[in-house]
Amino acid sequence: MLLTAVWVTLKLATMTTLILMLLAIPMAWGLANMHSWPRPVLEALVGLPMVLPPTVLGFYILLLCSPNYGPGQLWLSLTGTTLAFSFTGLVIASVICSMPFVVQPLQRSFEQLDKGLLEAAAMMGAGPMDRFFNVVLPCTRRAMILAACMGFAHTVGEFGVVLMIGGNIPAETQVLSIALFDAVESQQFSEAHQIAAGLMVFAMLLLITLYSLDRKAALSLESNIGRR
Amino acid sequence: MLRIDIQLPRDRFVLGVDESLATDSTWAIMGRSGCGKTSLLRTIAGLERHAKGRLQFNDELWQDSEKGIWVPPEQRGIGYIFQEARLFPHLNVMANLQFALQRAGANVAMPSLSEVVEQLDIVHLLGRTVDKLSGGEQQRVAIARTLLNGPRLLLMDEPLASLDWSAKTSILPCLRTIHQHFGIPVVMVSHAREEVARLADKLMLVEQGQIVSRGECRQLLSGPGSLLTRDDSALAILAVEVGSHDQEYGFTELLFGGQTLWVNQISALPGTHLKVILPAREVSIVVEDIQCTSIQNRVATTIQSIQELDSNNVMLFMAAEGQTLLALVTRRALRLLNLSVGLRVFAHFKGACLDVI
Repeated sequence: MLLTAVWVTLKLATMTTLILMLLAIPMAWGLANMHSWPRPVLEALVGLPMVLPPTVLGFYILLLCSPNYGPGQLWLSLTGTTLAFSFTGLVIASVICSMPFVVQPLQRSFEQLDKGLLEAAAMMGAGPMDRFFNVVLPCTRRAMILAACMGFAHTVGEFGVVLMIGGNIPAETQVLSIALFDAVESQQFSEAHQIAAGLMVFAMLLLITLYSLDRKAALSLESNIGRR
Repeated sequence: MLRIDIQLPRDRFVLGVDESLATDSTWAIMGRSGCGKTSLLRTIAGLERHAKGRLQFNDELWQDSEKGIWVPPEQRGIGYIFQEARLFPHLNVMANLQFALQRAGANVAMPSLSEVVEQLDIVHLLGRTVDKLSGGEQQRVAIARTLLNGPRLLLMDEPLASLDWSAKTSILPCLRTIHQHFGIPVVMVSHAREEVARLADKLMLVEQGQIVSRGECRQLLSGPGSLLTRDDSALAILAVEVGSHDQEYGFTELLFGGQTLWVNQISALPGTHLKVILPAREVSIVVEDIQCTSIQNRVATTIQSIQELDSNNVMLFMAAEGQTLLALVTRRALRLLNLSVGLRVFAHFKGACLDVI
């Protein structure tokens, strides 16, 4: 049971992170280069999961996923299964919840990127796509790693939304954080210890990696500015 | 021919330029900082999206706001040397050059990699990472990168401003050869007269976003009445011909019309036509023809006009051999020596203060 929960958790976090990176990179680039009024509104929308109680978010996502509303209905008619209480529903919920943790570091690094480099690339004949893939992405690769790690870690650490959307179906939607809750509820303290300690060590290692990455990024940024 | 007719609103004025620049000359745009000269260059490059008007390079239309035509910068085939090197930090020197090579335009007179790398003396840097380079080295790589991209027009925005003196002296000759050696038309922005005197043939002066005068570099830098002769860093440019080399003392004789100038030995062959820069503040005026002085350069001139600079100083414009020399003298000296227009005087200056270009 523990191993299946580990497997579900890893699968969820990996898929969520991949989808998030695909969505968040263009979103962050768009936000970083937007200077009109919708920007704060969009930023607030993306940042919402950081401040809302997960239950609020979970409640609305659950409604949307249920067969009574548009998205859930569409899903049902397309696949014949319900979106709520499925692994797919869980992925969708996780993507929404972890979005700000991925978009924000990316947006910050896009904003800090020296626009002069892009002008230089343009003057050498590089079009917008060429500039994005050959200058922007390689110059912000640290932020990419940082954002992916944040997305992964936050998905692993998610509890409330996952509980509301996924229910608690072993091997389907039961992730580690919920398995831990279960273990405590049923007074299986040795299993609870294993999960809790495991998650603790994982989170510690990840954060240490992130902060050392961040330090390096900060240092290289400073030295860049110092040279100007 | 580069045809410019653009307007661009800035904070305190509107940049408005309506000029045609012949592309067989090297053009310099001069003016105080914040006068709009960099904005003008950026507008030509297509980096100022808010500029309105019309831009045409030979028979290619780059911008016509009325017809809604706007060619993005990457399609204009312009090389832009920025004030900072702007090398890509994620690529090493060679990869930076390759970035430009891979995107090079189909310019017939494309310089080769080996030619450019040698010309700019960066062979030993090719394997280095960018952040290990000094400021001068970075700028040399940036210039190489721009040339390898095969530009049809080269824009330079104070390419030497961020560099120290030794880096400047290593890059100036490289920049000078670009127009001659690679045949690329050049428009540069600068506020340093020495730089302009060395690099440009034609000059435009910008004030508050307007072109206030344009013409031959020599004329504008040192002609009577020019805006650039109204302060103590004014200079004159003299056309000379290399006469002979004095091997014994390490001097070179320069023929200035019927008179001679002496400078520390240079490598140019006798008969070569050169220009020398003579700063106005290095020239002193002697009323009689004195031979017994250590100063070797004594040019017989006639005072053409006297222009007041401030309460202490005046600028003398002196004609000699059909050219103009400038001398910055105090009002006290003017009075004591009784200097006046039409008077024959001798301009004395040391050979060391002459800059051969």
